[in-house]
Amino acid sequence: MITKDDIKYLEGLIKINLTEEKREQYTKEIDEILEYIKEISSVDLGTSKDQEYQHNNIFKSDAVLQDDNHRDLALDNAPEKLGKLYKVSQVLKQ
Amino acid sequence: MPSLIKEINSKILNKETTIENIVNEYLNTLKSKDSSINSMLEIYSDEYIKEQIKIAEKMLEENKTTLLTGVPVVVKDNLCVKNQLTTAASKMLANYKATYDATVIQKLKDAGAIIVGRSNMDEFAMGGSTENSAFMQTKNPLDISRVPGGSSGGSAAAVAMGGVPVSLGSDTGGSIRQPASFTGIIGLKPTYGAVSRYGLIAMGSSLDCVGPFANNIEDIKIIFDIIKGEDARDATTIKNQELELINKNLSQNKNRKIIGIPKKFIDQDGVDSNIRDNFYKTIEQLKKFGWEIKEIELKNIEKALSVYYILMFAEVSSNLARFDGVRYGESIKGATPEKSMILSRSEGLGEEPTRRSLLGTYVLSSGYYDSYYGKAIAARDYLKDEFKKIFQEVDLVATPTSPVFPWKFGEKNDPLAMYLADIFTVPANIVGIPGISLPTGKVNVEELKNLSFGTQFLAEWHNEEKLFTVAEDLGL
Repeated sequence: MITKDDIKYLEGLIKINLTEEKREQYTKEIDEILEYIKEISSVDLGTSKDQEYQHNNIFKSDAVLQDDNHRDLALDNAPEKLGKLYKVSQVLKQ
Repeated sequence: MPSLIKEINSKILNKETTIENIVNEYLNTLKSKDSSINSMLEIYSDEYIKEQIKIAEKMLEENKTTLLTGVPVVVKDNLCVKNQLTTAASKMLANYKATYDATVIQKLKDAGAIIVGRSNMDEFAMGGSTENSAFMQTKNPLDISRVPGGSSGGSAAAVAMGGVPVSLGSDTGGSIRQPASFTGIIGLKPTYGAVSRYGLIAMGSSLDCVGPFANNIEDIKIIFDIIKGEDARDATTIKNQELELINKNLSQNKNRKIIGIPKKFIDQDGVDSNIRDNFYKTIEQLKKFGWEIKEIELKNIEKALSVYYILMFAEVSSNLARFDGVRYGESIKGATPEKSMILSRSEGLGEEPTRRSLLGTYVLSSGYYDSYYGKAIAARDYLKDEFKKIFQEVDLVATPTSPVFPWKFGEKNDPLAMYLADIFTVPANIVGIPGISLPTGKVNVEELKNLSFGTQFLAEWHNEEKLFTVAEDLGL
């Protein structure tokens, strides 16, 4: 059973603030969904595994494939910029 | 059914009409029908469309045309189109202009297609009705009191109403096949890795696929042939060399025609009896074309929905973490960087993305990871094994596309009920196989009249060809 406090904790992790009303709604809905997906624990994992499906990493060369003006285009979307840089509020205190 | 693309192509090559005329004719239909359907978030500016027409005309002059040259296309709003707004139907990206073309967009442009606009969708492709768009509701052209399906509802509706011959959508758990079924057209979800995801705004990266909508199978094939292929910018695309080997193996069963029917799965509660009847009738019809029907059992398929939702929630929570309001998107300033992020995300992300981020973070959190995500990853491999074995015996697996008919607006407001409607489409995404939804007849029930039935066929990895064969047999 998921509680309103659990949801509040998750809000902190995903950096979203919910209103009290929304929190209540989500608690109920998410509880129902978790109740449903709990059936995963009864999946029959009895037989041997096929080696072919073992997951492996794919690497690629560290080459730049973007256009020359990509930086300018990207900066055009910035909420705040300073010359050719993104401007953000101060992270470290002096 | 005749290919619209080929018809356009021959008219252009024979100088019966100009590219500009073709585009304008379609645009007129698209604009006039859209006043009641709302399939499009934006029809691009005259200037941008003209620019593309010029390129296509030049290709014609220089005898460098492809089948797609001059063909108007609509794309789902989660595919990046350079210098154009690309919003994923989210407030978060309401003012975001893509800085590059998605690989599939680049390929359409290289072929001379005219991208006329971006279509409505569920926010970040999360939903099955297009009701979750932050901007507007798209209506089903077959019955405007009902949803067009989703999440690629706008792309499906645009083709279904004749506004464009073809469009692109994306399919993470059925988002191409289900709206195709709801609007009475064809939708193809290719094999995972057959088509590049570069430039597709990610939802569930191990599940997402880009694919086409059309009203005939030849047009589906034409678009698929153009958009598929290895891409250095998407490491999960299949290497050409590997594909050659796979095709060689597939060719051994090229002429075999066996359809597997997971009867227990189809006969479960919750499947509309009209839909079930149409399904068995369709399968019966295929016998005439030499298809052998075989009852099969997929032991873990009923758990597919849980596996899908756990994996997808987890991937969503990770993919949506990037929207922080610093580099692009909705940005609201707070007292600290963290507060700015919270304000921006709370304002920018809608209800379903928030719900899925919460759920994804929950299933990945310490203490629950093993019992949810770990288990789902293991179950995914077992499902793959099951399908692999099944495809040694059969060439296709068939089910209805959706267990229910398109619902009326607001009728399904319980998220779990909405999730359950994905039961038949999610297995293909979990295991990565290709699937297609084919229109298999008009509904003959008074309150559902005008609606269409959809039947889904699934094939082995990279065997889209078999899906095309069954569509051709059905006269599509």
